[in-house]
Amino acid sequence: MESILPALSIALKAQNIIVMAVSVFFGIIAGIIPGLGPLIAIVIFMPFSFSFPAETGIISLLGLFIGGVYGGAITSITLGIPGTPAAAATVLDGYPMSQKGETGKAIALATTASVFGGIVSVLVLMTVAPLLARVALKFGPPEYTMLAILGLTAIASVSRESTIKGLISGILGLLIMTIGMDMFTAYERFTFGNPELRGGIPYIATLVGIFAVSRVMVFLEEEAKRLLPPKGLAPRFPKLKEFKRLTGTYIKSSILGTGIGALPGVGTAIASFISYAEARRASKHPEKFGTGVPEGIVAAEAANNAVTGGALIPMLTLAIPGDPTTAVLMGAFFMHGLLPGPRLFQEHFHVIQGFFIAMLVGNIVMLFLGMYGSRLFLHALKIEKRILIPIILVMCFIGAYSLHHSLFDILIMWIFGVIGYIMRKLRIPLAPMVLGLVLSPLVEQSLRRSLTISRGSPWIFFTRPISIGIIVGIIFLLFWPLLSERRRAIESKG
Amino acid sequence: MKMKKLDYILSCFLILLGIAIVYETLQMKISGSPGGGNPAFYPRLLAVLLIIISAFLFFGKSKEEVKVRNIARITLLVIFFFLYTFALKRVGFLVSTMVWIALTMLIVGKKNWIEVIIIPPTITFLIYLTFWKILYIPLPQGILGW
Repeated sequence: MESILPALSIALKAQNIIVMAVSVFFGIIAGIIPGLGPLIAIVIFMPFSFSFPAETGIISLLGLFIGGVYGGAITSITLGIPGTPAAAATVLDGYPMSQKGETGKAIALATTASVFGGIVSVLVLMTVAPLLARVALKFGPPEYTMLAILGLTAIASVSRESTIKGLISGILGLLIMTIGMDMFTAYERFTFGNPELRGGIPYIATLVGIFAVSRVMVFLEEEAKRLLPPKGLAPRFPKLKEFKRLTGTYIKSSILGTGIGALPGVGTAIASFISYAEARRASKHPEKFGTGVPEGIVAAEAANNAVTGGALIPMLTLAIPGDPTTAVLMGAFFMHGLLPGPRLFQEHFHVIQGFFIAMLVGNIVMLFLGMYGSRLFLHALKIEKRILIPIILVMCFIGAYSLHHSLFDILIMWIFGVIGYIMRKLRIPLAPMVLGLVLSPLVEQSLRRSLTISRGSPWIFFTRPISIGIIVGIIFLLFWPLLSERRRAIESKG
Repeated sequence: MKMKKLDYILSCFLILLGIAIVYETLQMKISGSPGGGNPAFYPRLLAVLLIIISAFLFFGKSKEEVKVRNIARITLLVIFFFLYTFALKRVGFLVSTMVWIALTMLIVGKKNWIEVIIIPPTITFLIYLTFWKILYIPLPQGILGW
């Protein structure tokens, strides 16, 4: 058994601890601003990270990742606007809980869940990474197609509004992303000659528009002078009794998130929604989800942060990125001289272990930053609406602008803001559209690849064991609520 | 306005949209098996699903009312969104943003002139500092050069 001391000496070097703490902090801020988030934070900071020694540089980027995935939850809970797509599921129960006057409790739940998920995923990463990677490799295009459909069905079925509208929202999300150059043939779809559309609809601008801008428009309707309810703001750890009841959710969601994160190409948003849907299915009171149920917040946040460790599994062991963020991280590893792949663990074992321990440190730091730092943020939100709203809109602008530095993106953001507002009015849930936008490339790629492999036959989805397993999962998810209602009705009669 | 009526309008709109998409995909010149060769397959499949599900919406039921309050404020806000974007190209970031923040503040709440004069420049300047000077992210420049 290798000694853990060299790894500890890397992770616990004063400069690395400080760098981890600071980058988690900035990661959280990036997560808070809608449209920014871990990916852009890492991309922006990466050039600066090269002036650090290799370990410190990577640690700083990992900190941004961890903090960024968590940070989105704060805006989700306080404003009903997900700061990152990962936090879109957190809005479902986080925002209602905040509106009920329990903002602090919601933030505490989200923080503890994120930290728990992060720690569990790193522990899994430290112990079974190569094994998990091998399982992940068994997932081929048909499995991915089914997994994506599972994710979409999960949220459509979970929406408080009708499932039909949820499905419509999801399909529209999938369709929007077909605009632009087709990935296989470079054929331009639905661009109508407009050169700006050739690259497709800028997806971050769309997200910011649909969620944040539309939310601001709804704020204008409300007469309240301030955005937050006046009481219940201070984050406080949940009581022991409640913790005990939620333990199962914490653990299950973290494992689910790690597993889903370990699948290349599947990221935080899908993990959080599948976890949320599962928590709802397993709950004794599924109808309460969406009103501010602790399980909802814990399930979403534990899973999405568990992806931070999980996604590193295929990246480090097989040099396959788990999602765009890990792809950028992989680039950083390369440039610092650490080549991902099977030899990484042999040649640089202690350094990698050092990173894992540093991530554990980062998660713990995040616990304190989240619980105590968010108080500051909450104070900021006490500012009157008429000052806060322009600030939020400017933040949206920055979020949408930072990727392409293009005003076209900004135009798209406003347009989708109006669309999002109309959707809210028509009671069409927004979350499925988000997932549709995020997943569409994955769905199309896997679908077309699967059909290419099977030469056009749809039977490929039904003849592979894992794929069948996922299909069973989809049916399960769709029909379990109906079955359990029937069972309860029979029981109450008898 | 009744939700049900809106649902009717919505489902008709979506069905038409689906048909339009299918039509558009039929115009795509590349043909082939549904595998890698055919870019029309996936959007067409989705459009068909959209039509089917919208039909369900049409025949389904819903009860509530839909209310929109303060529509004048919201419309103004939206108009200003677009004017701001156009102004950015011509006049540049600093001036456009200051004016836009000020106007938005006025739409959103009561008019406290002191705040309206102080806050927009402050925020604009902070953003300018952080994004242009510290992170080197270029902001739109107009004829005024900033």
